[in-house]
Amino acid sequence: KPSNRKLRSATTTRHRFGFLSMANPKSHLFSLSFFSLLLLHFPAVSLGQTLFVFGDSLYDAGNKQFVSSNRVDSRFPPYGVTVGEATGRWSDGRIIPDYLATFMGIPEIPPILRGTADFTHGANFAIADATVLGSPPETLTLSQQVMKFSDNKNKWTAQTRSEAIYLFYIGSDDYLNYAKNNPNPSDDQKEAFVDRVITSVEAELKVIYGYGGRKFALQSLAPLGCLPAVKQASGNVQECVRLPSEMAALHNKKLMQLLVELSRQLSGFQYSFYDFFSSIQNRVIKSTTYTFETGMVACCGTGSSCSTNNVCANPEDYLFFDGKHLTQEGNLQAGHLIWGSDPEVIGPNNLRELLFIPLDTEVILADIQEARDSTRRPRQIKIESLHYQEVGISDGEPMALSS
Amino acid sequence: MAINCNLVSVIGLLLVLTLLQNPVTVAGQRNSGAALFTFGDSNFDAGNKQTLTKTSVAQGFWPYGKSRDDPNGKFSDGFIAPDFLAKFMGIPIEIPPALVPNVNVSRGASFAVADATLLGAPVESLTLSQQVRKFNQMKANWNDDFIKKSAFLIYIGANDYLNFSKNNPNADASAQQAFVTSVTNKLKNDISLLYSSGASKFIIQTLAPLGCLPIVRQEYKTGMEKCHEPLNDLAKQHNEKIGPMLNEMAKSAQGFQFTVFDFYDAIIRRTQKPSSYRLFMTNASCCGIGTHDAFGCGLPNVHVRLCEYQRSYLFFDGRHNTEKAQEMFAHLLIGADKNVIQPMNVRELVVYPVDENMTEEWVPTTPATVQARDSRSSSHGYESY
Repeated sequence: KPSNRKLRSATTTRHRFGFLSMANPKSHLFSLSFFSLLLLHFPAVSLGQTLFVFGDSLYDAGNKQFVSSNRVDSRFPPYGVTVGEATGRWSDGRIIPDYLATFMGIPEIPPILRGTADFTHGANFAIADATVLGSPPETLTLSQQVMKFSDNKNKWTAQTRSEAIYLFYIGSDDYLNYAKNNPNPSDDQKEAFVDRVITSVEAELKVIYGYGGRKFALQSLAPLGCLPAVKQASGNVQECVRLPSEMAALHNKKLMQLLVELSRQLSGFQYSFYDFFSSIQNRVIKSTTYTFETGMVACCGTGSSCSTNNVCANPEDYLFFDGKHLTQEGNLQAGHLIWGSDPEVIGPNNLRELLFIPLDTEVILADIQEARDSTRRPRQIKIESLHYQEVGISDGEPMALSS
Repeated sequence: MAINCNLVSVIGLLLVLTLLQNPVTVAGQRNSGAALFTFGDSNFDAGNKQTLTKTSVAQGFWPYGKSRDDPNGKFSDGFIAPDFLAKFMGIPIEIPPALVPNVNVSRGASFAVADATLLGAPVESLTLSQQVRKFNQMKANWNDDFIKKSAFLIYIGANDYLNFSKNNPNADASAQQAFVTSVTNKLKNDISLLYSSGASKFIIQTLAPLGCLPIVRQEYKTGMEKCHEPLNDLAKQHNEKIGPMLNEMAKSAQGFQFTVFDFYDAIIRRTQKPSSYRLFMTNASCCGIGTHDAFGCGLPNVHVRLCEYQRSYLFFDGRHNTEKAQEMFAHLLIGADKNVIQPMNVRELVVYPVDENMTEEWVPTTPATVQARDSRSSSHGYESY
């Protein structure tokens, strides 16, 4: 049975000495040098990586057409205009899972419903209009996507499934529908609904865990009230709508708490939690800083559907391609952030680090407050510089270097 | 009280008292109550440049700041070395750009500006002496004692030599020597100005091997393996003068304290043995275009290549280090040995008693001097302060 080596990924002095007494320093140094060696020798990651994708239209790589009896817009121009081909992706080009696959050194992950595709490196179960709760038509809920994964799991060995990354983006449609149907919920009602969603997400993560999954990457929800389509529907395109963004923020907070809890409950559970909410907020408020001319208006058909008649000339100057989805440029920036940024943006580890953490290592954060802090301030101990532990750690107060 | 205390208990008492006096504990940095002021060029510019120019500066845009998703005017994918050094010194905030209105300068500030030089009149920038003048104009923000015990970190000269090299490609040895002399004389002058303004603790960072900067390799077409040696040479000539110059100043100015951080060597080591520093790419940039991906990071309408894992790169853009490397340098600054920073590291410099003259001086590092130092004692002798 593999030994449980515990690594700390964030600490204050009050925990540091506890760590030293818990772990055998020698084995921790060994695991540190072992996988830092891995990091050195495989800079272009190509270790037979596998990526499984779950979610909604943000991640849909072409599943929708197989379950829809209606015209699926993403199968037609101007979708895909930047790459010259409409593939069923809800963007002018590549989406986040495509970039992550490239960074992982594997081909783009094909949609599971395209039977003839090559699923060697994983499969994409995401589909437009997917929700966590309920049973919307012509789509697959999260639970149905996980069932599909289960039906297909023998396409991959147990080893592959345990080393793979499981990527999730889901919940937008749950909250957009809720906000539409409940314009004035009380705080308790909001909380109750979010709890239902989170509980369901928890169950599905545990199912994946049961099939051997250990490395979970979750993208927090965008500030949904800032989606151009949502603003358009509210009648005021200048301001983000409050309720959907509030629900998203509450969901994100509870989702992070869930991940911390699971990392304690489930042996070997590893995760990365990407603060997509802040990424979008930054790009809506300070669009030009992030190379966009606007984060307020979509490139194509904000309120009406996106067609070749109302598409902008240069999608890369826009954050949003249509009323709800990012342009290729927006997806690319998010991809970079997920892959290689600091814990303040994606914690406790970015995706590349998550890939390399040995399977029997547990990354434990002592409590929720610490987890929250660790994703907001620059980490003081990074996995590859654990031996710097004696130097540079503040005595007491966490260093709030971020404003 | 009885007069005969035995020797052991006296020594024990003294030891305890010494420990209690020690402001630098093993567990971490107590708040030494000192500030960190930085001066120089784009390496330490924390956002000043934008206040001096109407055009939007590249470093204010993605992909700068990519590690923290926060392009803020620093030439990095995140923090720069002074931010980490500040944290190690117990300062809980980033070192802010002094020229930006309404920033919190209570724990120090950056007066550094991109394109700064020692000599001449750089466009839309400030020479070091102009930066010192700005510091003087803002002195009311701090009291004299606070300034005296604070650290002053300076990195300047790179642009002087880069320009000289471009404008005088065939300069002979004596022309180079003359130029180096005028640059270093100006540096000495400007440091004296700072000293008369009340500063007493100086950290001078030697120049990087300028010929090894990706943008230099790219512009001089050196290929992937080589650096542009004439520029490395100029940097070396400059760096050689720093230590002796500061030794002299320390002898003639009461309470003048300094240390020299061998940045040149730190960069060379990383380009020669990248894997020892967990670096993958040290001769090309993470962000840019061209043979070494060195040009154009952050510029509008330039479709740069952007590396996916900047933490394994030494340089983020054509001449500035990644956040990861900057953090390494801060570790060297705060606590490395004399072969890296001498005569003492920043931790020691900051707690060295104010108004006292240093007892050690900077020594050219050769194997003989390293051995001599090591044999003398294993302690630097400053722990009791």
